[in-house]
Amino acid sequence: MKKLTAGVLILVLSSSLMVAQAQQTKSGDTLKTQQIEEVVVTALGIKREKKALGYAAQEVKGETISDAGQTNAVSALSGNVAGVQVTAPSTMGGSARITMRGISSITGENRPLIVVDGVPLDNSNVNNSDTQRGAGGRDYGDASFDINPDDIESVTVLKGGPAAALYGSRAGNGAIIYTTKSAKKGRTDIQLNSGLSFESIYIRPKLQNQYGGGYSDTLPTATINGQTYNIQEYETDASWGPKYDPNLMYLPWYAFDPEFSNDYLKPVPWVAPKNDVDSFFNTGVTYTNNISVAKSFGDTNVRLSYTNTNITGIVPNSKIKKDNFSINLNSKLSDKLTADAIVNYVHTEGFNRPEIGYGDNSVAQKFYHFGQRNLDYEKLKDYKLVDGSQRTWNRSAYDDPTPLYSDNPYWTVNENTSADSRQRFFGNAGLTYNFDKHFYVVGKVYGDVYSQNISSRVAVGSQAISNYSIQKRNVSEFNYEGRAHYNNNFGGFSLNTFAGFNIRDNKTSILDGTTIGGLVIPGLYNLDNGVENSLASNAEAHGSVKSLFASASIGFRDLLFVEATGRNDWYSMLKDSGFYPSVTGSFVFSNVLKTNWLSFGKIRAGWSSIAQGGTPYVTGTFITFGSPFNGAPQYSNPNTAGNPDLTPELKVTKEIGIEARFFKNRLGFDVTYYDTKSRDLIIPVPVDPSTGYLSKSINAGEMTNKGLEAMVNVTPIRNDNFSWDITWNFAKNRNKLVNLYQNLQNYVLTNAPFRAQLVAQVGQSYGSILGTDYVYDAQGNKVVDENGFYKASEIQSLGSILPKYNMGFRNTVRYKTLSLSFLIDIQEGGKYFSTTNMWGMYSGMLEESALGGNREAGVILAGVKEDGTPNDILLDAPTWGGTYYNTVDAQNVFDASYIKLRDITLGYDLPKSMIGNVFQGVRISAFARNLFAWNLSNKGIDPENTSYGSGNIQGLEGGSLPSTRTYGVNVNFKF
Amino acid sequence: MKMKKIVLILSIVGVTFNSCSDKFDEIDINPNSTEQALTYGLFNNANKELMDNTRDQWQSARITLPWVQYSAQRAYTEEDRYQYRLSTGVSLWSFSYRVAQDYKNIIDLNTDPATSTKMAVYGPTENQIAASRVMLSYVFLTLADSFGDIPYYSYGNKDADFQALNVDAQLQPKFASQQKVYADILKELKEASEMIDENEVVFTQGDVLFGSGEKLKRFANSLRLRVATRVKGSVQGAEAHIQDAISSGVMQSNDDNVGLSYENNLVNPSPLFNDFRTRSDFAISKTFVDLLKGNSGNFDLDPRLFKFATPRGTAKASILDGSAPESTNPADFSGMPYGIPSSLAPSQASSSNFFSKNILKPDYTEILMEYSEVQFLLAEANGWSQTNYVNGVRASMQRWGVATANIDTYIASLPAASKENVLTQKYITLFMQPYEAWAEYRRTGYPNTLLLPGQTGTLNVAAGGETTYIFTSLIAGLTDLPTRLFYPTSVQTLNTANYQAASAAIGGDKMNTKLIWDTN
Repeated sequence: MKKLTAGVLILVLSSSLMVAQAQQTKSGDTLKTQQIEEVVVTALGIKREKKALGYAAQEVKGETISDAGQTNAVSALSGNVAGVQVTAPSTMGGSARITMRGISSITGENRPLIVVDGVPLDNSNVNNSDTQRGAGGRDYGDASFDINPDDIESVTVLKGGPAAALYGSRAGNGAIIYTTKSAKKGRTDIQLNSGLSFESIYIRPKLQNQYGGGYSDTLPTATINGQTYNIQEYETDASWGPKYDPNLMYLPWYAFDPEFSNDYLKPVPWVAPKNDVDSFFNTGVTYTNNISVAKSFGDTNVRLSYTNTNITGIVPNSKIKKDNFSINLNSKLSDKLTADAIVNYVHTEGFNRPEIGYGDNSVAQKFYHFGQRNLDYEKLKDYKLVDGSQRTWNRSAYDDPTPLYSDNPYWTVNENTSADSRQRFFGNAGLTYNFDKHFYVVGKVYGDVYSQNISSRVAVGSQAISNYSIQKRNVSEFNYEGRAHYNNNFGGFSLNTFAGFNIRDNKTSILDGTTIGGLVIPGLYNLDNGVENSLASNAEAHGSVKSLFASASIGFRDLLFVEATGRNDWYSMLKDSGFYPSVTGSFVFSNVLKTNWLSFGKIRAGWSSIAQGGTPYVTGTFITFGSPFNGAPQYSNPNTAGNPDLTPELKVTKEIGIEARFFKNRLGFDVTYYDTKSRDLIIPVPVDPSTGYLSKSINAGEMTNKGLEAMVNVTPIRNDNFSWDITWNFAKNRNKLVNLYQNLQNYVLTNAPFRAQLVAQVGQSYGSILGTDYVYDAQGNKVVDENGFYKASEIQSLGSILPKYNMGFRNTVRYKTLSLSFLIDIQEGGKYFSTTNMWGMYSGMLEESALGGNREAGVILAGVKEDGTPNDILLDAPTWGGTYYNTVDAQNVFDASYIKLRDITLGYDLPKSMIGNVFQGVRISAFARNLFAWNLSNKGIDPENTSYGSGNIQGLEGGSLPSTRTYGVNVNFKF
Repeated sequence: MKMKKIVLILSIVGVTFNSCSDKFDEIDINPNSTEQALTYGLFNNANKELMDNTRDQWQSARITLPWVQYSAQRAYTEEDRYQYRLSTGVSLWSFSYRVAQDYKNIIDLNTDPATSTKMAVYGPTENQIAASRVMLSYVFLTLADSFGDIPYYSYGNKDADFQALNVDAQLQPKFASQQKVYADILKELKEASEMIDENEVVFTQGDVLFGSGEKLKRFANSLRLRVATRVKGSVQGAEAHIQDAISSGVMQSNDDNVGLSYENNLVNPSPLFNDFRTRSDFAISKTFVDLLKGNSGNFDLDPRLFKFATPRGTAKASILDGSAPESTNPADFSGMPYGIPSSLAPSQASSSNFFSKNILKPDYTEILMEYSEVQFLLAEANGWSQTNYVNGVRASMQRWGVATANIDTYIASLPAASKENVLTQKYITLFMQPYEAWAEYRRTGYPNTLLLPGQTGTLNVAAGGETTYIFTSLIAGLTDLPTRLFYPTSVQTLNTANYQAASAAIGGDKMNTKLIWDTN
């Protein structure tokens, strides 16, 4: 009995590496082909020979990621994998949107499942809807930021449904499987890896440098202590003011504090600032240090790794610190029983991640939307008086220092800070028992548990009401899995089968607290310091899915492979269960043709039908609570009406591919065509509010994706000392929302903060930007109205945020141990809406608002009047700038195409002669990322920098920080 | 040995898989909320949400409050020039229907046999239902007055065109015609009034509007008088409702005024006060100041000016903390020139007047309807009656705390009741109730003291050598105040076919399409 109990305990502690070992023991009959047998990690961590797969799977080696100095294991895939689209704004530690094969759910998860060593890793993005739609907020990034790039051995990208079907309801968008490094049997390995990189501002809006703040073209005057001075429209956060003139003297905003006696009532010339916006930004610095020790003791292998990452951002006073610890153990307990475990502990601490978008604390909004161009940023650094009150340029008046709209940006970044931390454990433990060489069973537990705290401060003296808010989130997911495998060969037939179960349990718990009415004691940030009683709220969510699954793969003489999988999921949140089958097959035709020039050739085809479940409590219509008012509670109906009849959403994928390599693998390609159809999507369909609700949860809609993924490898030169490899990745996806619900035409994903909506529109690609367009006459001229403004059309689609295609082009040249690699990443098509362009023109901030003498002469918009005659209505410059807002939204919609030099990496393994005996190897790599971008439709905006979350809301630029370039070095010592 | 282990493993599989299934059904029980609200909490919330969203810095101070020229913006004046933010129109629509759904939910909870007994604990069923019907009428009146044809819900009338507030059956409700909407509002108000038990409370708690069935009834009849007066001559039966409403009992004094008082704290302060804590965008309009000062219109200096506005140059902080001085010197008041371009605003802002501390205070009472207005409605019903006219002026002045002697002086100076004088006084009474003032302007053309597009206004301070400006609408084609709002963009995209039908039915979704009662 004791033995039984111990068995149970051990069974509950287990790991995936033993599967690999088990697999290895059975693969005795390897074909003696020319190429090295490629083994890849597939769904549920099961290693398979790549040639047997009937679906698209692509592998990326860990070095590709670590050599390029990547700190984000997800955005590192950009350009390296065909069919993977990564949108990674360059905000420090920011969100990285990753999608594969387009978009299949309207509001649900469109990102692939992320799995690390078998652990389905929570990849939550806590950015709220205001942050995402560009209305202001901080980007706290994705939870997958916790993956340590230095620990990655390899990444397998399972691109579609058939590949990932065994993951059941979460596999609809494919899966990214990270496998971390482990100790190799019989080897001792100590490595030290150090990286240093710098980040500097690159693409940002071009600002005008001829006119200062204000609306009037003359400076106002004021009589102070009996003397008349030129002053300024301090209260105006626009730059339609007077033209710079070194002979024009005026009292700047900082001339009114006796405390600053050098500046007090001292006029200065009205000129462009010496230290402009760019001087506000720092060079960001990232240090990464990793040490790992791997050792093998007979039947036990251990690897320990610790990584410390320190990032400081381009915005002053912002940083992220991350510590990753991992332990990877496996041990052969007996001839038949092996145990393994991986434990990761990650501590991520962010301080003052910058606010972005159109928000109170978003410095970009102050720099590029509404501000004064005459401000000297060196002067702004003195942002506080001795008594702690703020000095801002945006005084309410010369004799009233109260901030009117804008805080001093240095006040913002030094006083209105935020802090966040995440402590996370994830890992797995398991046991494998081999009954014989054909039959084994595996029991595993996968856990991912973290707690995240976020607090933010608004200091007393800010333009906004002072505040302290905290949020605590606890998230956990456990998966309990058991599998039985049977593999065997019968004559020319090989058989790989398994069956198992999985129980998944997710919990989320959120606790929020915020002060009400402001803070009493300045500088004290605690909920007890509120003017009124602080407000607390909490929410809990619990969901569970139980599954049974099985898989069978039959191979015939390494020529033909057929595989079928099935999984049944039972959901706690929906009444219905779902069965999700897949069938794939492949035919290795090179084994029939047996020609010299064909090294390998395979065609493959796959089909799967997968569903996504709902979120907890989606079936009910629950009231929302307001704080008590006049002594009585407040209840209201929720914005979304629930629906008890919801069923899982279904996605059917069909794919076909061909893979071939020629001339001793010097030329190869891999092409996949896929066709997916998702239907019965669970969406809170926005409805006309006259229904009493803003939305209703229903199963609705059908969306299709059809596309092509291609990868071509060419090795023009390969000899002992020199090689040149070219890899070309290409993906084109055509997405279409076939229908919604009944005759609904639009699903509004969100509204941009002022103008434009992001919608899913029937008959169009997902993510249409809706707004007004120009009105054209029969000759194609733009029509202006009687005010001389462009006439606006009805609201219509101005294009989709989804690109036409993406491709990556990597060149790698090796000479002995020196290698040079660079990646060109190309996106064609897609649109974004720019609030920066709208307000930057409205406020006379952007360069374009001061070109060609239009400030003095005014502007006549090119077009015709409604009677067809040429427009001759002259607009003064501020009125013209004003028409960028509230008239034709198409003026602020831009093409999102780009060509980027994504990374360039130079690597060198020092020769043995240089390093002597202390080291086994020393590798130095130098890298640069995002060095250049070309083909931008708006030279001042990086199209990748137009979103603020990794969710479905993308392409609404609300006020972005400059995008950045990164460059650095990485040194790896092996002892 | 081998068998033992297989048995062990299978049993573990079985136990693990089933141990959780016992409670599997209970996992989806929501610990955070309930599907069944309590009616008084719904009523409390709906009333507050209604006022929060129709008397705030957006739906009020950036649409109708400036349009009727009670206020003018001190910077960024687009909305004053009729270019309101379309998102604000979306919000007005959304919040109104969301609030209506809460009122309807009260009716449902009181009529569903499964819940009505439980809810009766919180007030007589009939009174709860009546209060909801009355408030629904109030909400739909604002919607119809602002947009024209609207999706509509009626408790007492199952007309096939009334498809709103029925999410289970209708996601794209039809728009009901203005004829039907106004006729049914009158009917609802009459029936609601008749079902009220005047001697009982309405709700046991959570009701800061009425308190008693009697007050609710007077409000219902007064509101019916307002609506019937609005649509007389355009909706059949309106005239009969005027007489019936009056005889059924309208407001008797300022004690019958219905308003929502906010709390004297920063948890639930009044919306405009809350906005002014961080902003300072709005001032009293110059055209309104000129009317109150007697510079325009037929009246002498109106002492309410000093109650409405703060003397020029008063620090905002002193208004918010209630320490600002009250001035009785008309020279301290010039108002903010209305409808100037944004580029002129900085030069004028410092010479303008903020709202007074009587308005910008946390516990301000937002009025839904008051006795003074009822007196003006009666004056109109009674052939521009001098008595009702004087009563109306006196009641308004009393409500704003004007000293009796000053009231008497002012009343003594009043020109005789006439259509123009009564309606202009009513405009002054409706200060801070901009939606009603806007409707009355459209219906009657009064006051005639507003600055209209194309007309020349006077600046407070010369700017760029100019002392005047021409008020230009940013919406092409408007020569008078807007007659309605655009249907919200969300409705255009989410309920397209019905939107198009309604637009065609009213004569085009434009800001100068006239509503059925806009016949002057």
